[in-house]
Amino acid sequence: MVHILGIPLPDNYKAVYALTKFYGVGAKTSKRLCARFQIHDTAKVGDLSPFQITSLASFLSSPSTAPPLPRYPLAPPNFVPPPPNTSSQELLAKFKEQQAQTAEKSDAKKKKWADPLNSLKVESELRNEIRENIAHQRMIGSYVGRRHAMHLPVRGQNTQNNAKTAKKLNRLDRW
Amino acid sequence: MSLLSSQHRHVALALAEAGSVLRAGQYRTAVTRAAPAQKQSQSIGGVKRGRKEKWEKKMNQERAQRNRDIPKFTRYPESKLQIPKTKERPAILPEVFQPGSGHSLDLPLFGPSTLTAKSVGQATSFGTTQTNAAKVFGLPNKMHFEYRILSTPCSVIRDVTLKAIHTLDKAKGSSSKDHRIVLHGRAGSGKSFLLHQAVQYAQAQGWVVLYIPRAVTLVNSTNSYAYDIRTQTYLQPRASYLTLDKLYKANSALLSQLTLSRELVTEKLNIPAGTTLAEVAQAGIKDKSFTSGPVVLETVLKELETQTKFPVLVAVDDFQALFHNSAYKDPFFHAIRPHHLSLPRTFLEFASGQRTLANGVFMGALTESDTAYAVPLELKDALNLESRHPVSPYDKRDQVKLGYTEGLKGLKVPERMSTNEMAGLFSVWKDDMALTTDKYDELFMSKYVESDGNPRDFVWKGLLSTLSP
Repeated sequence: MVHILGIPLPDNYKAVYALTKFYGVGAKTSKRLCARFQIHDTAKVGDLSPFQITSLASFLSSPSTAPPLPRYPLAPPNFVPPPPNTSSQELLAKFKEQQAQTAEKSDAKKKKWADPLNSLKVESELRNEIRENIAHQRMIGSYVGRRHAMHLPVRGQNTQNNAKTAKKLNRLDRW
Repeated sequence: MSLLSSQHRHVALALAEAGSVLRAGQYRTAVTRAAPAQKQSQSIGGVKRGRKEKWEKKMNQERAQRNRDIPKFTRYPESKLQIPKTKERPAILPEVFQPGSGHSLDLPLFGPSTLTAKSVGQATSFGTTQTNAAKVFGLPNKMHFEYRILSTPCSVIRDVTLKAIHTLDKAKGSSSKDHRIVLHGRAGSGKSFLLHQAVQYAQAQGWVVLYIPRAVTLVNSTNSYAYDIRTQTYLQPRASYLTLDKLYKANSALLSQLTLSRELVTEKLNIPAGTTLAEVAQAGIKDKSFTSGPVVLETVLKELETQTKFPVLVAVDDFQALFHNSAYKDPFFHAIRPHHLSLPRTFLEFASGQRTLANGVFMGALTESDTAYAVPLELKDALNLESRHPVSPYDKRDQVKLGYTEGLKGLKVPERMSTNEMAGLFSVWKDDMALTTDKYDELFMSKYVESDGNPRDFVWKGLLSTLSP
């Protein structure tokens, strides 16, 4: 059993499903997260390496401050790899140098790829955002704010008979 | 004279048997428990006058109906349910149907003596040693299911089997650049079986065999993957480890006679030149974290490429899956191309001739039944395969994938089995007591015609699914 951000993820759960247990992560985001950390579709939480778990945890704790993804080179068909005794650290250092050089030369006007996971919000951050949104609606005196304050449906639903969920959950201090 | 009808008696005895598996007391109490007392209903918050009585009446009616549907004998004690005259258990199955009865087909062994022109149509069984390729590498799904039902793994010798064997014999001693064969044909025509026969023959003749029965598992995101900056591809550590392990188990005797020409030095390993390939493989297998798997497998394969002492057969079933973009995603959420995954890249390079076995053959078999990984346009072009729909020259073909299809030779597996061959297949299932009728001629001819000579349809939709008495 792994605990990430206080959420327990049982070992027998598939990783793609387990990540949806975070508030703010659904199936789509979970698949993107798995791709980012090279977790295959049928991987179970118990099969993840410690490195994958720690990088997942550090990413989810603040997705917006995560470092940008490096674009590693992919072998063309006629590529001949260097011998096995080549140090991977050397190759990484070489790659980083090349990246730095291309970054200098790159066109400033070119649009950078916007990582959808950078704008991800989970758990407490997301709950805060929701609370702020409701508080803002109340502050500006809008209809939406008033309905939240009265514990009634906000989106124009009928209240003659059913409004049970709204009466139970709609409030100003929702989260 | 029994109190119960025969039908009820059978059911009662089945229940009794099931009950005997539980502890005696447990079953008895369940059977002799009295019917539950009628419940009083309780209303919360008050109801209209008369509704409570209506509910109660309805609930009692439903309970009575439910109890009426359950047969009375479920409430009888065990002693009352036994057969009156004897205490024996009934309906003893014939010995042959008892589990562990030891019934098995008596067939000649698949080998050079049974692979003659005379033996076309003859069913032969495969060896069941621990190092047999089928046992070590596994089998394609549909073959696996079939062998689970049959008492002995076997197959029928066909004309095309002799052709394939002849190709292997001719190719022995020469480079795999000239011998890259892809088996193709209609769905269910016997491509996987033929590839399996070729693998068995090669192993029996002392070839080093690397058999991948389900290449689709390398591209459907069911194995771990990790980017490697040295090879600039995504390694598949667990899949490479398992392939290395199986290669070692199936060919340990031959690998212990081949040696490493250059030393292998990595962060974890330091293997000097001159070590036997068997020991090299063992060193890779020892590392249970799978990290050495890819490197050691590559090293062993490189040595097998250059050596000429033993011919090597690389056999890949589900070959068309290697030409599809995989189900793996890179960190940017784009599908990873197959030549950017370590194992698919290896097999694509062998198939295209970029890597050649100095003494060996590459053989692939297509799978027409997989709709997720259908045969792509590039392969259809290369092998001149028939297409159901008209193919336009303007349809996009991937140039990289086309490059990997260069020089592939197709070997067509005939759509229809001949009557001789089909009779051999029929006799396998007949002798293994899978048929429900003894009107063999009638059954054979009707199912042969219905299946249009297609072996899979003949067996699965004909013989095994027939309701004919």
